[in-house]
Amino acid sequence: MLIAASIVLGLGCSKSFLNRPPISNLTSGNFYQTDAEVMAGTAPLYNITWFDYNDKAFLAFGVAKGGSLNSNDRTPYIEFDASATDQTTLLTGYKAFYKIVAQSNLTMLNIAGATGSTASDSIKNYGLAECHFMRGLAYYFLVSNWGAVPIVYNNITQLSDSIPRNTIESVWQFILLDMRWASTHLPAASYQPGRINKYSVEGMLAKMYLIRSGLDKTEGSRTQSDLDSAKYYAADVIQNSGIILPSDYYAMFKGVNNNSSNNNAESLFSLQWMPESSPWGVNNSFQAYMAFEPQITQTGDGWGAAQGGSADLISYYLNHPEDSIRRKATIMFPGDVYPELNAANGGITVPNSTGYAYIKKYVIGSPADNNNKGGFMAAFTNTIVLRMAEVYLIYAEAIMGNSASTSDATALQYFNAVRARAGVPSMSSIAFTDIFQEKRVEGALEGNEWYDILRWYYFAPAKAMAYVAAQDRSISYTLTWTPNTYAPRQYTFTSSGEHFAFNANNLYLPFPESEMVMAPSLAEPAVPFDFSKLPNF
Amino acid sequence: MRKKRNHPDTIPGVRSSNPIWRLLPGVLLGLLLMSGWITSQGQSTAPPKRNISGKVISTTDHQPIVGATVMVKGTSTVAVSDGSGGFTIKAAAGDVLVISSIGHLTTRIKVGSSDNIIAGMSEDYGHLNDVVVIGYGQMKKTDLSSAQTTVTAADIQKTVNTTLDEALQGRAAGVYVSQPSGQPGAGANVLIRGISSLTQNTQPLYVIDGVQITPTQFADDPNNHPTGFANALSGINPDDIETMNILEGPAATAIYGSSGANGVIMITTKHGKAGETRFSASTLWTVQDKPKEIPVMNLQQYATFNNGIVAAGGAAANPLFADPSALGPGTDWQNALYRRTILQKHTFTVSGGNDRSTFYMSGEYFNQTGIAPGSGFTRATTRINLDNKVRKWVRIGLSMSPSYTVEKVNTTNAGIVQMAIQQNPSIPVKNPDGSWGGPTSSQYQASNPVALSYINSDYNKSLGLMGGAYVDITPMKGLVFHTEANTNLSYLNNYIFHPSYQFDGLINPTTYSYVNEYYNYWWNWHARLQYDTKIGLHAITAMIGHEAQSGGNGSLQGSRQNYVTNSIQDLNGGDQSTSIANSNRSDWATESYFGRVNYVYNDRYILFASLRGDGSSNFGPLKRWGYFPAASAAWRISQENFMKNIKPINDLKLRVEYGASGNSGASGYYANLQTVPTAWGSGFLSQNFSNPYLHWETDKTINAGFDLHMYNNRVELTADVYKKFTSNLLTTNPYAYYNGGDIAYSAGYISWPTTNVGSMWNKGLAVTLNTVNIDNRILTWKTNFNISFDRNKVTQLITPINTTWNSTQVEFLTEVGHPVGMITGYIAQGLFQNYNDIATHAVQTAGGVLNVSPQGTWVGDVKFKDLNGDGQINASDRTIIGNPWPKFTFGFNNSFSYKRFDLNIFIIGSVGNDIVNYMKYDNTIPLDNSGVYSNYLKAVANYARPSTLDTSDAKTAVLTNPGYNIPRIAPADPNGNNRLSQWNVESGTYVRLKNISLAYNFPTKIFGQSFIRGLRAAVNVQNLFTLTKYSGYDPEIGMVNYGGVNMVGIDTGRYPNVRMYTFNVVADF
Repeated sequence: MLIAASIVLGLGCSKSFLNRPPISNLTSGNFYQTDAEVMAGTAPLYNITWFDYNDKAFLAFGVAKGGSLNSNDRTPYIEFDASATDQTTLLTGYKAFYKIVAQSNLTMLNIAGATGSTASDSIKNYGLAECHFMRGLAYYFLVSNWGAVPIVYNNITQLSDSIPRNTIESVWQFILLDMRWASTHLPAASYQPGRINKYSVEGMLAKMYLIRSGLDKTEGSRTQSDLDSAKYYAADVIQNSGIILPSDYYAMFKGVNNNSSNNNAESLFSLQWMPESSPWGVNNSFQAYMAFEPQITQTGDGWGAAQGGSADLISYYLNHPEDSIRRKATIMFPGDVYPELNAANGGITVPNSTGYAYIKKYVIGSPADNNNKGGFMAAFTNTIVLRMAEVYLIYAEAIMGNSASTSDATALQYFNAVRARAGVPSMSSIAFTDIFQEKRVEGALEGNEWYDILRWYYFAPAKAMAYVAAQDRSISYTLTWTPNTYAPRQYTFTSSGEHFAFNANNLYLPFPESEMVMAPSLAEPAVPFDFSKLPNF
Repeated sequence: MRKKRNHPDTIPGVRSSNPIWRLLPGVLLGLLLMSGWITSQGQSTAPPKRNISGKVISTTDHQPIVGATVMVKGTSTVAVSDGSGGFTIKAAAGDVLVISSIGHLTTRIKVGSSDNIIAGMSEDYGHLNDVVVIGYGQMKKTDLSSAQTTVTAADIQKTVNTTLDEALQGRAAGVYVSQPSGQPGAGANVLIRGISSLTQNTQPLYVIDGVQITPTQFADDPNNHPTGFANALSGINPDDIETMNILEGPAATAIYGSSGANGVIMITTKHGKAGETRFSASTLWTVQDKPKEIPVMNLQQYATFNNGIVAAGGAAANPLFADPSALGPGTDWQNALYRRTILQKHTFTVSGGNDRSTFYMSGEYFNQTGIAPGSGFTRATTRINLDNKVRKWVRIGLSMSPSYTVEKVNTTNAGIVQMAIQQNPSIPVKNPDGSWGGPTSSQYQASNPVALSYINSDYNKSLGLMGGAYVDITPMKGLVFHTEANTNLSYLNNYIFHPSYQFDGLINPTTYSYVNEYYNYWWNWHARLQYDTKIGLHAITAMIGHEAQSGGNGSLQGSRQNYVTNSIQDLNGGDQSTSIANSNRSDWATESYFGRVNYVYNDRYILFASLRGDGSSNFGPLKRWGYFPAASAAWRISQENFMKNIKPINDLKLRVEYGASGNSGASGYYANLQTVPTAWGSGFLSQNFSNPYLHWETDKTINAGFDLHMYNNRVELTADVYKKFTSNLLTTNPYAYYNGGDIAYSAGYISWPTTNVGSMWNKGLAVTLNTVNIDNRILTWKTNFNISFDRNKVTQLITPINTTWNSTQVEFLTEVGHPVGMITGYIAQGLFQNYNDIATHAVQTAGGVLNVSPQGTWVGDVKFKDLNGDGQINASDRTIIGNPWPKFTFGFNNSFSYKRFDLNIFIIGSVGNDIVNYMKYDNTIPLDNSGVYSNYLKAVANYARPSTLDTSDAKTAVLTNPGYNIPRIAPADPNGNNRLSQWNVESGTYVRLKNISLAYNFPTKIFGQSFIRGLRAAVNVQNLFTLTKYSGYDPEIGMVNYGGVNMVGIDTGRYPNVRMYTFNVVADF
């Protein structure tokens, strides 16, 4: 009987029977071994992690709140009364930035911790630099939208609900540390077209230094060293990156000239969307929401009949008919003809009857208009985060520095280069408001509007608040073209005349309600960050 | 264990030579041992043996009893009654004949002078002689020391069941069955003794003739519907089931170790019986009625409401609605969608065999057409069970059941049930020219639900094979070596074809097709050695065993778009450039060692102990093995001398037990990477936070109970109390979002780590009372009543788990000190009536600044209670507004037999649970949840009408139609009227007449010499009526797995269950 028993118990399986690593999935332990694997490990940081930003926050936080967008879906952002219970835009946007932080952190840990890796140091540094850049950029959006936020640098060891908020100063220091690490570890040339290089990061550094120069300062006394840094980095990008402004502003935003297979010639950093939507998040959903009719996209989307330029933006263009190139590339006026949109069916003519100025920028037409690339909610075009024209304007402002205005030749050279391309006259002396306005129009609907107002608020809060209070943020307006008037066309414009001011209380967005429940520490005062805790990579 | 039959398998007149495997009814083991003792006494008694002939009949109906065992007491002389109840046996005067038969009380008759004996046997309602199935074996019912319940074929066949899990509803105490969808073929949720895991599967382990199946939890995601709703049990014909033994007590389930935590349901299918071949056929036809409708606004009301939206600035005016009174009632979408349909089921069985071999074969065709077009379930199954006694000491058997099912799921996948409630009545089902009706444009508009139910083509086909083989070897008396191998294979084909269409202004330009070919395999092999012996009054059974199991799956998915024509629906008809292909595989394995000892002293004192060790591939080497001990004791106090005098008590057993089991369902040990297409080829990102220390979820349960049989076993009362402690809960804890993870899919997310954190307990009481109220030759009346109480409380958790339904305000909170998954929300105190009302109340708008205007808070907005008194309404004012768990559930069955009529009335109920009526919430708050073009519930016609929408008149604004709770039409909802409040939580209490059936057994004599031997016809109404205050389609809403946790108590407008009228004929040939 004992023999029989020992036979039964001796039927044990071999040890490998219970070792079943995933068959179809890579695991972090067996990846990041070669140059190609390290680069494949950071490539998704250019698309899927940014989807929720691009899908929601981009327009709501950046454009609607900045006063350039009229949108029935984003009214609370236009009116500065976003609700903490907003799950679709606020929560999604908040999560988006921390997803970018987490994926960047984990990828850094994986690259730095890979055992037996044969990847070269330069490629490992390249990958790590990309992570630093993405993380720094995510924190730029976080600090700009919520002010003091928790700094997360290691998602494994820090995983908890009690990470305190860090002061706005700390977050800015963290952003600049990230960007500087990236700039010193990246080569001048991109590993592959569309990936960042040293100049992408330096352009971003110029922007970040310029913003921080005003933090907690007053007009005329911005931090000079930050202004100098902005000037230094902008100059290096302008002089050495080899990027020049393409001459045709309008063509730059055509899908065929701005996608992940053919990056925009002026771009320093763009989100690299795919012409497909599987898995969900590698796609660019912008056109789906913004194209004013499905005929434009031919993919079953195009829901933008209630999405258009703001009354403020329209007023600018009506007052500046000479700025017509950028106008037509930014918003569609009634009567406009866009032959390249749905070209196969004769293009698109904007109806006069609806009295509305629809969105043009990033609206690129059907797959047929784009080398048969694209699909439902997956327009094949990149979202440009930083391009050369902005660096020109940063450079001009950094040169101006704490002066009230400047006539510096270099500053004027780059400032006027932007204007010249747009077909508007040069200026011989420029003040802060000139540069501010130029950036606003040049980059309209590119997501920077609110953040530029915020950086103004950093050092001149009264002026920034007054500027917004004066903006025409009308919920409804009517814009009609007087038929048969050309060069310039005549329009009739009436708006309901609403103005929405902001103040210190609604300057920042509320933390999402569900996040506050999970992490009550967000209600505690912010603390300075202890930078000695950061790892050496 | 393959053989779980309770019937003698010998044919009349054939003596059995190896009694241990004859599986005699009753106290087989005792008789066997006794026979050995008797044999040793030699043959020395004087009176001569002579042939005694006799007949065994039932005292109830005087019908012959076939297969009764007649034994001369104290000898090994045995006979078995034949087809007419007759037997012949050699016995001498003064001998005692012991006559036993399954389901009857053992009768003793002393042989006198007569050579002819009529032995009347009365029915044994207590089934005390039964042998019941336990994990890896079987046991005399009287020897059990753990809580378990048996549901028999007779019980199952009383209701119309698509799948076997449905058949359990209301049948057993401690078992809570609910249907999460009325979609034909959809699996049921079965909870044994309450919820035992937050994130893992809570369905019990089904062991079907050795094939172990844990059906997947019903999952739902409104944005990404699962491809199917049927579970792994859907391929089984419920009619093939002989018994279901539900192991509930911890000592009974612990032998299944890591799979046993949710309880175990041992299913024995029917096996052949020695004797004449029996052939039986049955046909069943059911008419399924339409559901009662959810009241929504008709066209006039909708037009008036729409004009209100226009006035509030929420939409452009619709000139057609200028004069609502001129409009007709519009489209009744629910009426247009639902129809009466047929469910049919046809079966045959053939069974029989001889003393060496028996067989059972069956076939079934089942077809249920859904009440909504585009839904249905079809099944074809066969089963073959073979058993053969090769030698005296070897027995082998084989069983196999192929099945084919088709599930049609257009309705559920396209959310058509919900769409039929929300689509507005101004849109026609069909236009006068016969084309499908639709809205005037695409944006924010819903489609035509009736059209979609017809033009889409979503189905799941599944081919399954379940089977196994066993060998029993008895090398010496009492010692059995048993080994068996089982497998369960399935091949599935999910198919989706959504054609492009234009319904008036609604254009879907894209044709989409998707195919998923999926295979799934499971096998196990186990070997065990069992030894039974009896030394004096000590009976010992010991068993040890080893088991290995492995399973896995693989899939190949492809999709394409842009079909030139809708007539070619395969992938090759789509545009190559839109082609997406993918494949996945995974596998797992477990290995186990187990053993148990059962000791019975003098049929009075029972001690039991078992231990199982499980190793699982889901865990890393550090935490791979888990050990699950159990022990129990029972005292058959009725066997004691001091109890013998208490005549009414036939049997009383007191039981106490303890056991541990576990749940190993988690993945999360490995840090997986997700694949992401990028401009530079495939990229990879983290998919989850890994946890190298992941290990078993453990359940430790104590249980005490008793089994009481009284009054000739006509009263049987069983009660058990238990407390189950679940610890090391496998939870995927949501952390603050700043940690970068997410609970459900979002682009580029990292899923939260799965950890062993958290504990909870369940305590409960399960009572079963079976009585025979009337039992005479004409009328019998039996009742079965069971009632179950279960209370749950979470005792430890890192962070509360707050699950949000589909990014809405509907949230469920699992936190320490409360039961799992409580419904949370705000307390609505009514609507603001005037300016003062708003100005003196806590600030409801975001930012905390009072803003009395239509763009802020206005008259007609909902007033929420400031629970914490901070002057602001925000998340901290959320509180628990509902408990989704029933206080108790019960089943109550009455069966009457009057002459040849059988009447059965089956009532079930669930009391005290709350339901979030999401369907009502979604269709009640003007504009906010469903948008401008959606229809709303009829009650919304009374939406709040403020006297003015002009901010400058704020001080004088009043509500012109007070008395209702529907807020004003507020575009963009600045006041947050869409906060979930107690207004949308309803009582889910119901009592349902689940089934009433009347059957007639035709007398056999009317068939004379024709081939028909028996005929039974029955009519039956299922879901005849339901007493409930719940306003949705059906208060029985079940439980879903959503976002990784088990969510109870949300009704999203599930596919309704309806009344069914059935006619059924069974014929024996």
